Amino acid sequence: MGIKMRKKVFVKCMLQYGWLLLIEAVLAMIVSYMLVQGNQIISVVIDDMLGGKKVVFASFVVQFLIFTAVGVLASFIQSIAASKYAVLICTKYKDLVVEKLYSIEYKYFDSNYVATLLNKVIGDLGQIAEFLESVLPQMISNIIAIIIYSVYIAQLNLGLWILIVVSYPLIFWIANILVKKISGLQKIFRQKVDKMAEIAQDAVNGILVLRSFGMEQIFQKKMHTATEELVENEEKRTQMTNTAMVIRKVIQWLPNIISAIYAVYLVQQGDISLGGLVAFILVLNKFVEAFIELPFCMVDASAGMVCIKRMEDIFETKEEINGTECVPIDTNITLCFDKVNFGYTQNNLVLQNLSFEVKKGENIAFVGESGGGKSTIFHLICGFYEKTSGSYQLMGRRIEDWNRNALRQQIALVSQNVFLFPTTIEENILYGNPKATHEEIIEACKKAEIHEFIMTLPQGYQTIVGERGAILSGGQKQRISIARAILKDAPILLLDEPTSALDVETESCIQSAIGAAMTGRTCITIAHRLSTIVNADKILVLKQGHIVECGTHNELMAFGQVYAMMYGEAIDNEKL
Amino acid sequence: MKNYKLFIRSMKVMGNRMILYLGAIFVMSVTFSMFSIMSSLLMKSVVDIAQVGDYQKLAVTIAVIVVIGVVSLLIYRVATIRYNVEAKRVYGVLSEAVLEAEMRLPYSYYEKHHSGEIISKISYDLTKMGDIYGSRLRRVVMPFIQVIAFLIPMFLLSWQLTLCLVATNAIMMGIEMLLLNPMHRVSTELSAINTKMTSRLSDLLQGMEQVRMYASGYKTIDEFKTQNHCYAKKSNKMILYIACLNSGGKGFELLCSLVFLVIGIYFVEKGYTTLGALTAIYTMYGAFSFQFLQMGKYIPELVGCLANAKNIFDFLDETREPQNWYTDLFVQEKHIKNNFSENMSCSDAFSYDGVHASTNTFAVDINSVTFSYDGENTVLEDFSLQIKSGECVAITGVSGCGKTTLSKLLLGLYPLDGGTIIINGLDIKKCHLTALRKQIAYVPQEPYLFNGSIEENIRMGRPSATEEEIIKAAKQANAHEFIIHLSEGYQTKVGERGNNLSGGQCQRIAIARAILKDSPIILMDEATSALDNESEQFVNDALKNLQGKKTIIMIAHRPSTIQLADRVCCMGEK
Repeated sequence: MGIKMRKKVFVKCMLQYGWLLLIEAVLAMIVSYMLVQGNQIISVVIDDMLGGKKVVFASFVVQFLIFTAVGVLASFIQSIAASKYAVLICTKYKDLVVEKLYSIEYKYFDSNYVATLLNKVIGDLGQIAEFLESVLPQMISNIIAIIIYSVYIAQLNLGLWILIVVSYPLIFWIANILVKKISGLQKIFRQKVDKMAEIAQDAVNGILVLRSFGMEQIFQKKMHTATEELVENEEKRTQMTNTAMVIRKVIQWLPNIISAIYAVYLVQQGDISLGGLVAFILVLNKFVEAFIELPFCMVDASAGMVCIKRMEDIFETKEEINGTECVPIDTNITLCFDKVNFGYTQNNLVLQNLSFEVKKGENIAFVGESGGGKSTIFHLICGFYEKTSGSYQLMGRRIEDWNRNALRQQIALVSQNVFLFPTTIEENILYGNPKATHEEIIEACKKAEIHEFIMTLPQGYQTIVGERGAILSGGQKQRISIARAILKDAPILLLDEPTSALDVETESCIQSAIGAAMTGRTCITIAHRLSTIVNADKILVLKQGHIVECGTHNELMAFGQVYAMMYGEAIDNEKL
Repeated sequence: MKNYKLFIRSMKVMGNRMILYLGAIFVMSVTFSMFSIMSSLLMKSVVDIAQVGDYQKLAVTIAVIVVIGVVSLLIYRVATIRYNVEAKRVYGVLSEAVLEAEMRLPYSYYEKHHSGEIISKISYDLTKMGDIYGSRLRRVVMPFIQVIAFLIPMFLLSWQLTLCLVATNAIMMGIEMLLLNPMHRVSTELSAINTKMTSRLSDLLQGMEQVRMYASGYKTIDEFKTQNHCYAKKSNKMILYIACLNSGGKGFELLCSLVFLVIGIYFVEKGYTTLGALTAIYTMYGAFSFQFLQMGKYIPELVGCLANAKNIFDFLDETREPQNWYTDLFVQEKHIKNNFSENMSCSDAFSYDGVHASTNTFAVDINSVTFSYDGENTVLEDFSLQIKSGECVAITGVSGCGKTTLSKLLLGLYPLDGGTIIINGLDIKKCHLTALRKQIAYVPQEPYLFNGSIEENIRMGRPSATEEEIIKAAKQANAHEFIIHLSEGYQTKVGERGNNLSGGQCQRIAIARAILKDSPIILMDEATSALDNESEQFVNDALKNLQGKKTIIMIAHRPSTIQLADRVCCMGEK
């Protein structure tokens, strides 16, 4: 594992378009070579001039213009190759990230805020793009320039070359140490920015509560503290980076001074000509420039690496278990749990020793206190979470053998938190079955008792629902989600408190609609309503993660324990 | 010019610190070029002395130059630190301003806009705008100052040669200027696509459960990819522009070498200047030309960021929810707008005659209220309801009949089309909305818990509350028992949308928060509808605790909850 593993996906992307990188490098070489050749002319001309020869302008002007033309062309293509490379990788990488998010194990979303994730993907990818677009090409140009220039200096005088080759790596080494320290602080900086984004998202999502409680000042204060921390962190960071910068600059000057003095000595000795000295100084200037840029590139690159690392964390996270079986076995037992344990964390089990069986076409109901793990069972059935131990089978196949998508095709889930996509009502319902005709949609909506309401909207089925269906009431949203589930026409129906947010009138409508939808299907309900409970073929009573009672309504009433008590309370409530 | 105005406004955000910030940039520029000039002078003396070989003079010259160079660097360091810190500070100020705007928009804005859009504003536009202070402006301004700093010694060494070099560079600048506008256009387009991508991504993440349950949920991913590829396609134009800039720069670097060579040699031959001065000018010219070309290079980027700044300013300029929908209390509103960091005081709300005008004895007096969201479909028509102080009223009705709308109106989230609402003597049309909301503790249908601990969430009801008061409120809401059984008790962090807690537990925390607020009126919007029987019982018991002490309005359809009410009001379709 370790660091190499961590950048796997990114490196793969980089290699895929490696040919562009190669073009970029070759062209960078041509550009640098043209600049060196220009300098060579200068050196020769100066010596000619000092030697008293007549300088013929025409002879070198043409040469120079050719160099310029080649240089411009090479640089143009180099720039396009570099940008293209960046865009291609970023696009590919973004695709991969989103794909990965689609198949990542569901647990991941429990521990990560949506805001953090958004920031990660958008912000980090931006930073990675910058790394690819500007830092990387700069790095390539600089490294190639350094090579070309040092070859030129070596030609000029080997002693000078050795002097430079010995002194610069030392500076490189020092810069490296500094880069490492800065990289750590960069991570903290991103975290602080993340935190600020989280506060902002929190405020928008909870705006109704925030506003009705007048919490504006609290949030303002929170944000203020966060920004203050950011500024404080910046103060520390820049103090360090700048001290490093001053030291580096001074050290970097040293080889410059030494080699200049040495060059003077060489001229005095007659080892190099004065024209050579001038050319050396000009090239040294460019060489140093490139060399100085390099550590800066490294700092920028290390900031980019932090982002890449964070993205690769996503890739490293396990995917959902996904088997290969796509076809159910024809069996009478639709669902079978055998001693299943489950906990979100290792030592805190939400479900313990869960065993039950659901036969084809059966209608069973879970009842029990809130937080007792009922919704978790649904998540297990849908394959969102992996059991801690035990085993369970759906339609004759072990859950881990099922192909995820095939499994979910067997199940229609109406969950507690209704989520409507920000698109038209029709499209939202179409999610249930994209091939459905308009008539089928209307039929599903009629069954869910929502058709009439939709028709009262000015744009009917084409009405765009806001995020989380803001313009619709809770009941309306729920009925749309039921229509969606009806349209899916899956053999298994999971209803998680579907009638909870409805008024009595609508509820009874929906009860009958669901009743119709349930025929010929296996149905598992998390129930609160007496009508649901009484009609169930089997009732499972859940308490603190255990099934404490199991049987039909009559059996459990006769048993006279937990269920009977709950039922009694419910009856009291229903009476007005 | 619009960009100019945007830029001025971006600077004004800093207030007085702008002087410190701009000063820091200036000092940075000057000291940094000073260092380069010293390097060039060093080379001049090397070439000049190489011709004669006076080593002692060489040593002295080098010593002087090095000392000046090091001192420049130390000053540079101080200025850079100031600069960076100030840049981050503005970023912070902006984040706070955006948050402030974000919290005070009219409620209809949140219902109309995708929250992904708002988040994109914060993370993308704000980061880009922060870049103006963090790097873009410096990159544009520093070259200008440095160019001047370089020009002075260059002119002193040989004004003829310098003039020729500057002229050549100026042509390059012109070409770059031409690319300014098209680049801005592309940048705006790219930003728009980016917003769409953020929305798709936000859909994907927030609706992950549904996305995975439906085979066609994969569509969200395809849509994201389509946008992503569209972004890549649009980038092509940008790539071309950037390539033009880059290769143009390289071409001129070579051309200028030529100019230097032809003219320089001519001057040396004529004896106008020395070889040393020539070398110094050329080494300086390297740095000068680099800075000179930078002048053009980063203007497009700055302009691009200004497009993001415009988005932010537009957002900041969105109409805020007024202090009151009907009366102009604008004087104060403007005041608040200009000082977003200043604390809002609402104690003066009571100085408005809303409170004295009425001798109304009702806690809530809704008088023939008419309301519609769009001006066409009336949701409430001539609706009246009087609730006595201390009364517990249940409001029922079929879904979509306007119950939730009614609660939004009580909270003053929308202006009434007709009629009045008077809450505890406060006329909704005359008093500050803040004052109005102080009268009501609201428990929404979906209990939203904020990122933070349970204690923090409850405390939000009344920040000044003591720990005992929080526990007392939690007990009254029947939440204390389960909270202390959590491994971290009151310090338990709640996940996003209360992921770690069940719906009933979240709701009880929300009720504890409302109880702590200690308002005379408690408004519950289907607070028990999502709960199972047991939790509902807990909540109903909590309600019983409050009966008589508070005026309670509950929107509900559970018989068990309705049963608690002194009076039931059934709303029908109009």
